Amino acid sequence: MTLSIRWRLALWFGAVLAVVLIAFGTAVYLTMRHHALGRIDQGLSEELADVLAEVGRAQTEVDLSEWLERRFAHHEGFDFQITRPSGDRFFANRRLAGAALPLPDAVYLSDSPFYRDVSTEGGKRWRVVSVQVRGPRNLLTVQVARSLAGFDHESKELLLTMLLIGPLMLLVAVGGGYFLARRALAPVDQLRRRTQEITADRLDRRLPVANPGDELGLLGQTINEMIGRLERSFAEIRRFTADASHELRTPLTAIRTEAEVALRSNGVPAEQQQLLGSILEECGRLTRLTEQLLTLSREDAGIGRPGPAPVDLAALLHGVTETMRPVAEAKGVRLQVDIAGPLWVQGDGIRLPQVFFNLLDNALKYTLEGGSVQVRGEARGAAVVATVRDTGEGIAPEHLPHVFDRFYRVDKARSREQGGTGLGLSIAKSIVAAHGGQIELDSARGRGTTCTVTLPADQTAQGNLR
Amino acid sequence: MPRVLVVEDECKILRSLEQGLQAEDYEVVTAATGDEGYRLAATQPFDCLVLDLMLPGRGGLEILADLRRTGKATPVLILTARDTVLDRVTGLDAGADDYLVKPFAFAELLARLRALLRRGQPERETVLRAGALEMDLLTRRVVRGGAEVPLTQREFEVLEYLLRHQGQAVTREMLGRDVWKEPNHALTNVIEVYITLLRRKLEKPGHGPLIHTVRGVGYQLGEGP
Repeated sequence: MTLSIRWRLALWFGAVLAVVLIAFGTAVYLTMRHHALGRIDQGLSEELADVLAEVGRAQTEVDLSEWLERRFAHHEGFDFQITRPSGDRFFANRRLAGAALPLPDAVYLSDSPFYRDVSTEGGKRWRVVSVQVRGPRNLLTVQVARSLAGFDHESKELLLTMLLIGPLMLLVAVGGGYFLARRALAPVDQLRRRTQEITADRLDRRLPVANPGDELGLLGQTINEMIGRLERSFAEIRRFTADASHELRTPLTAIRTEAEVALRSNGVPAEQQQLLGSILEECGRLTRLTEQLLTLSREDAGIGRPGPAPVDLAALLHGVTETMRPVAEAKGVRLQVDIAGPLWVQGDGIRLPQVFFNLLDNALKYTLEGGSVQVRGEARGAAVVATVRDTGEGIAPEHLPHVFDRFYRVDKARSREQGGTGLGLSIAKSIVAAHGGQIELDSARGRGTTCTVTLPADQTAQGNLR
Repeated sequence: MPRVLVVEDECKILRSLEQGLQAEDYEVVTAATGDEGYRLAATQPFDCLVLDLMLPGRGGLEILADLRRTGKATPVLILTARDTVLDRVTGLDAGADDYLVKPFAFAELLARLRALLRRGQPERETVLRAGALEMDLLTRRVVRGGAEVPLTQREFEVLEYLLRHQGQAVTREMLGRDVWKEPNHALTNVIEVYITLLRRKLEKPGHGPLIHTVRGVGYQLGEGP
């Protein structure tokens, strides 16, 4: 599946923004945490200094205990614990009454403060600074702690906020991106529609170019130049077709008239009559070839096509089949018709019969006495399908891909003998293609050939009938 | 003897047209340029004009328009090397009575000329005859040598066309266009089949052949080729 440029632009925009948002969010989150921790450590060190000052001032443990009790037992934000080397707790504030801060390993204990995060039972997290100092009687381990509950809560809230708002911003950004891309691409769409309107019959038209300097203006100019080249080459084909028709027809007329007039004059010996007849036959073939080539080159160029009108393919197939029926009867070939009509298509009522005359002519040509040719027509969804199926000798697989090629003959000698030009199927194909349809040939040697023509159904005509 | 002016710049075509028409008992005047053609057409009386469209100097359409403007109603048959619908319509709009696309069969040119010269004369025949063959157009019965020949609609039409052109060659293109109204080469086989059918029904022992094949041209109905 390919997405439209609009969507691709919007999604790319979203992806880039997502990366930026994630990087930005991570940076904000980490910086915030870092700063908050710094503030906590700052508080810890200030409180520690206070405690140490008391410890340094005390002469006896009783004094110390009393002072500590007065100053730190009911502290707002911080918790305190002083431990003797034996592990006994010398002092703890009220909040710590039930719980004990774990002591760090001995290697970390010295007279310089050691900061770390610890967890106690119940999942409580703390930031703790520990230091060893000389007390009135012996070494004391002083610890000041601050609960990390508030810090963790804030971090979580920040993270949550970012996780909630981030995708929302992304959504808005992708939507905005889509809107912007659509606005930016609207002129491209307009350009496309205008270009579409310029068909083979309207090559004199050009696209309007508002700003010749910008990207779209340049594109418009390029397309205009291309249309110009197309127009010139179409004009060339038209002129060539007209010239060629004149140039080829004039000498053909001269040969034909001279031979015919000579043939009509009295007293021409039988031998010369044969000769003149042969010349006229070849002349006829050359005439047919010229006409078919011109038909093809006109089809290629899309020249001289009348506007499409509703054509009932069912009636057309019946007409063509009935016209050709005597040939089938004379040959002893059964000609069956199976058409569920009416089958409306948009087309040219003069050129479309040519297709089926050619197909039926071929089918009859290659079907032997006792065989059959079946013509079917049916509506299949939004299409009208016509098939011509014969029980003839079929076409070998190596020829099958080429049967629509110009001048391709499966059996060269035989085709020429029967007056074929090798252009019948090519013409059928270009006429069908000009009607927006498809033509396919399916064949197996010895089992016959099926030719299928698929044309888009004319919905409006069907609607009018109902 | 009908008097015909042929204006055509290709001298080979012009010469053989002159020769062929003279052999058919026409009095033929020729012109190789448009100006010469116009001068002749404007100053002399003709029963019919055969006019090529692409001429040096004054073109065929121009001559035609000028003639019609001066009130000349002489029937005009146009010869054209172009066969698009537009070309035909332009020719007929300019006042041409008929047209032939090159390369045409001389037999067809003769048939068209005859039709143009007959124009205005009421069709009075209700029975067409050729030797022992009789076709009654009103009762649609065909009798040969006293015996009725049953024919299908299409067979009747083909035979009628051949009878109306009896003694003259009829091309397959003419039959396809005028009887089947279908300009298609695939009809060649169909036409051949009908000719075979007609021959089988008409040509009985004791009578000579009636429908002859003229090699390279078409068919001709008559007692002799």
